[in-house]
Amino acid sequence: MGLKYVTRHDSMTQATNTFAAVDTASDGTSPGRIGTSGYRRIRQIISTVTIDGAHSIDTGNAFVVRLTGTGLVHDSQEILVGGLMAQDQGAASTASYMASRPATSKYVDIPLKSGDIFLTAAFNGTDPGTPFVSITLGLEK
Amino acid sequence: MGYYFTRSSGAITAATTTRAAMTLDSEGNTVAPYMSPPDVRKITSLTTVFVVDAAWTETGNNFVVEIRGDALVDGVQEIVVSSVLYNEGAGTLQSFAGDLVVQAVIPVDIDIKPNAPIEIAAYYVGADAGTQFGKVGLELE
Repeated sequence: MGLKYVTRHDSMTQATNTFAAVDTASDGTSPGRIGTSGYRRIRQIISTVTIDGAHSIDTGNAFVVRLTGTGLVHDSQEILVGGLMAQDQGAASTASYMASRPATSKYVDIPLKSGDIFLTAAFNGTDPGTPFVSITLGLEK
Repeated sequence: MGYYFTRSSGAITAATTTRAAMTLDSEGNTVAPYMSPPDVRKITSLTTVFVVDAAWTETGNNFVVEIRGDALVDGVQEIVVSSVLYNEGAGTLQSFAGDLVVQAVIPVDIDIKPNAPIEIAAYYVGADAGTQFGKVGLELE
């Protein structure tokens, strides 16, 4: 049986070590929680992180997504989804940097029941500016 | 036995969170949606490249592929595939940044029906980087 892929995004304007909602759809609407009726398991999580503006210098971060909601059999789950870092030599560096990365795919086994899933995300480390996180869940019937 | 095909968006000049149909073949012709062959039942992977194809400012984007059409057993599927970012030092810029972009290869498990159309589109999220360009390949089994 194939999977149903559902994606949510959000700009992370919160402070370090603070979870905030990741509940925006690709078209910019706010569908919020992900319904789990008819699905019995999360089988795949695909994720990517970027930074949506100036990257604060001399910072490094790890990003984690937390799944909560009435649709999870085993309560809250946390999955690491990536990192960012930036280093600057001198106060007025005349350099730039550019990067591209494929999303990462992780197979998981998270049992579901009828209800919903709510995604939140946090980063650790010094605030890098405005990171942007995107998460896809692969739901199994 | 696998089938492989690609579609491109051409230049994506739309605003963030706006759907960009991927209707171009590899020679730049606008073509009809791909018809699934009579002996396929699944999409098993996505291979994608998303880049910024013009001058861009300090920002980052995450890219999402949307797959829809009568061939999709479970309806619309949305999968995050990659990210880009560009940042500048605080001084008067005298720099150049390039990247070897590795294609994202994302394993998926999407049920499809034979002899039916598959449509591909893309979104980017995050502040507009200018003019993005994307190409998506599907593997069918």
